[in-house]
Amino acid sequence: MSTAEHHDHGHDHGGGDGHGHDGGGFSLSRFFFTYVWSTDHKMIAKQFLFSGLAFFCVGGLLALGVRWQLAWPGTSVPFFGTVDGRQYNMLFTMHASVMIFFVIIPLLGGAFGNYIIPLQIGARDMAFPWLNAASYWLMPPAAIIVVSSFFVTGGAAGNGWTAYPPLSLQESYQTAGDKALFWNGQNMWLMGVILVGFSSVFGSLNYVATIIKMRAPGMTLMRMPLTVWSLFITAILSLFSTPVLTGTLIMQLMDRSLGTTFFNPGYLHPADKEMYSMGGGQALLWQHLFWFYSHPAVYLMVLPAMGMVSDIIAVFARKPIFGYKPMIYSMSSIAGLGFIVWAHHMFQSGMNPALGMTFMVSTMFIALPSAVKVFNWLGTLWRGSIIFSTPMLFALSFVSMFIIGGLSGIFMATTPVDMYIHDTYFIVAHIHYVVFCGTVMAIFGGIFFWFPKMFGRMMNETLGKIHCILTFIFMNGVFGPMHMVGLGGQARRYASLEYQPTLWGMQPMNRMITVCAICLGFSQLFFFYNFFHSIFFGTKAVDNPWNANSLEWTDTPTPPGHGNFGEKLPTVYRPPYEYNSPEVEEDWLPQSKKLTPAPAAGE
Amino acid sequence: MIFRFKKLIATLALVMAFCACTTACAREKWEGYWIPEGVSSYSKDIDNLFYFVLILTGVVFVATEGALIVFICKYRKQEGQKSFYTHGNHTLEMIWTITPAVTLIFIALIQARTWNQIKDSSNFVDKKPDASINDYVHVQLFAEQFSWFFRYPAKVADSTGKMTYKYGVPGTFTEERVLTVPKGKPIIIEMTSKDVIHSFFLPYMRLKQDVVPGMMIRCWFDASKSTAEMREDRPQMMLRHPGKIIDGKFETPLVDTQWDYPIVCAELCGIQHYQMWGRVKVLEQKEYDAWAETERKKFMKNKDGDVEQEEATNFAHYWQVNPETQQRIYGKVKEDDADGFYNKRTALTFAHHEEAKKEEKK
Repeated sequence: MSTAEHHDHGHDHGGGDGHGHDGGGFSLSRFFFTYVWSTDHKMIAKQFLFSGLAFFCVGGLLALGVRWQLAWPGTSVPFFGTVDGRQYNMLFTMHASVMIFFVIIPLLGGAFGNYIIPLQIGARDMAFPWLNAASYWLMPPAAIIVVSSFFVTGGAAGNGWTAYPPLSLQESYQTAGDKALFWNGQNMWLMGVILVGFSSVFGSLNYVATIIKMRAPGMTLMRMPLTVWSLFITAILSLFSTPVLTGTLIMQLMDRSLGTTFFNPGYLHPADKEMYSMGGGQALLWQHLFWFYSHPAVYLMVLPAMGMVSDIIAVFARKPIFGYKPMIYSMSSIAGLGFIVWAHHMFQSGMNPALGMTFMVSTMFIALPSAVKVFNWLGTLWRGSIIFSTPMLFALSFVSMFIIGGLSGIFMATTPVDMYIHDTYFIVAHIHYVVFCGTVMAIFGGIFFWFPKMFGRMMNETLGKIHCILTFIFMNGVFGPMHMVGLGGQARRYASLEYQPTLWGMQPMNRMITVCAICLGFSQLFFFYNFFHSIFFGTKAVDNPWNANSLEWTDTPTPPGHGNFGEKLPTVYRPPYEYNSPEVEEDWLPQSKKLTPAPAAGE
Repeated sequence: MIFRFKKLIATLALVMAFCACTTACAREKWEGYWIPEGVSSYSKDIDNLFYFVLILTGVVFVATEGALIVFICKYRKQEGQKSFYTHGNHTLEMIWTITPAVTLIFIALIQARTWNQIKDSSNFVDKKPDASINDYVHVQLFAEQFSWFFRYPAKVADSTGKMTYKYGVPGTFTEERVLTVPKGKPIIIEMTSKDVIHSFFLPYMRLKQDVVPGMMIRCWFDASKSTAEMREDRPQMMLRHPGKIIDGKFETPLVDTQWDYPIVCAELCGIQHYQMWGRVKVLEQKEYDAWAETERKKFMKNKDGDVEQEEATNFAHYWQVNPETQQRIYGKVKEDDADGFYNKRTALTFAHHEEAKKEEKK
């Protein structure tokens, strides 16, 4: 048992500990280098975590604005005022952009990726700590640009997070007619997302290098926890796809400010010949390039969640993960196929129908690995010994909700059915079942699970369970009925149903959804109270509160000091999920525990 | 503990059943939370596919969620009971990989025919060698922020004496927002957009097609029920408005509404995206012919060589083709449209807005 020994070492190195509670007076420079300009992966992870949660509130409030307008069109949204068509477009555009680029991707990659990867593979830090800090410090400028875009003439971007040209190139729409205005919402949105793209490329580069080069002795690829695997695959995916997005965004920025016409097929105005412009570009080119990133981005937003859920389920079912290798193969095939399914967002876009058939087939195939993963989670639960802790509740709701999100995808993959449901609320329901009911639940689970390691204190279980159950109920109240109004034909991105009398009957359901959404918003207060209260006043956590096997629990103190491990890196002897192994008495067998006598089987 | 779980599940099931019942009761014939009646000849195929996928996913849903609930209830941690130590099962993995794979390939195969029938424009009626203009109706659609323009061709005889549809000659005419079509005949639409991407969505015909500037896209639909027939099933009724501010108060007044086939813009197109409405008016063949003849005559030369109205030839610039390269020339504005269609229509729109404002003031 080397745990205790390492524990001591950890405190020897406690000077650089992320918390710096230990003695001495307050020193500004020390505060600055510990909490702000830190190159320690754990501190950078916490920075990502806090900014991600802050933006989660912003994005959530924007969503409530959208829902309010849909339920009671024309009335004044509390703290915002009345919403006209332009502002409505702004609300849902910024909701999606903030949630995707400033919450989900930074939380999964930035916060969890940074925190977990070095600890779980037995590395002292990331391969490139400065690059890692740079990856975080690209976020504040991006955030400032995007948030301040609310206050410029014409307001923030309003073209949907997909920013399809030529609408996104239209000056009269974006800048309220002021052609000379460079700092307008859409330009700022483009710049913000370009910065986020760089941030995510820096991060991904770091993760790939760290995982390939810096694993502890004995940590073979096939002994890595699935969270690391999922982040590894995600990082590769992101490395290949994000540069495409960045390039595409720069092309749109050039179209908007330098007068190029990559995406502009020409434009005519009925009355004003001055507003006539030459084109020559292709509107569909943007869609192809954009979705070439943004479809893999959907997997960036769900693969790490799958990995964390696998870890949590194995720990709390007290059972090895069912089909470890199939899990890895299925994640890899999701990533591989993820690059050849992008045009399933474009079935109705006017591209060649034969192309639609091709992408339909690849899309059908990408459903397969997801199904395999669900079956393997079920297999892990089967004959387990399930402990219903808060992280487990979140992980279980991830699995149950991901099933819905996955299955509703098959409707869209069926191209003729997609003709009807494309761009209706059915699609909105689908994406939210995957990303909110799936990924966000997994993020909550991950926060509850790794919180003791991050902050040295436990979160309150009762509050956690209340939060989980309320969120589960209300999110189904919000996104479940959206399937139905979508099937009824309600188009998405509509500020009001006023001009579609055939849809008026669905207004009561829309109000119900909004009421649930508001309750969902209030339920999150349980989480935020719990989170911030526990950081300061939670009960002290032991080193391994969940009796888990992976290195971050067994070989580091809580919270880990600078350098993570003791003087000597741990040696890994076995796969990460040896729960209830017949080799030992206890129901857990750490990866780094050397059994004496060594198992004779291999010799 | 298991007992409590059962109770919880039973309660949840009851609540869900109650919700389903109230939803079903609240549903009126033409305002459902479900796919509406389909009237085009391919809507049946689409609906069948939908229900097939629904049953399939329904079975998978019940099986997987059921297994999840059973496992959660059954394998709760109990004192003195160890979990079963296993790393998986190769045979099982094979089974649950191959079974869904075969199913998915099956779904992929059965939909191909329907898709081609709807979207492959080389299969459309007018491409058949012996196609006659009596077999189909041809319409051009121009979308712009935030309206739809439907342009109907003139009927002229070609050199062989065969009647053909032709645009840009006397007899061509254009309608705004309302697409009038005969019942039971395929309607072939050539569409393009003047400014941004719109999406032409006919929920009852199950047709959706993005309208892209710089591209000419063809699609088709038909309607097996006329507007009058649909209205018989959906009598004129008082409907509750989704809500607006009247005299500073939010109200949902009852509005006397007559049913119409809607045209929806399904792609974000700007500030008034949600106001980009349109209607399809499906007439019996005879009514349609009479209507089309009357409209067409207004734009044809009468005995004195005069026309009642000038057709807006400005649309021609969308379709100009460079004879050498066979490539379409976009964005060429004719110099001589000083009093052309655009200006006329703009004036009309302004007049309309003025009237609307006056009404508001009243």
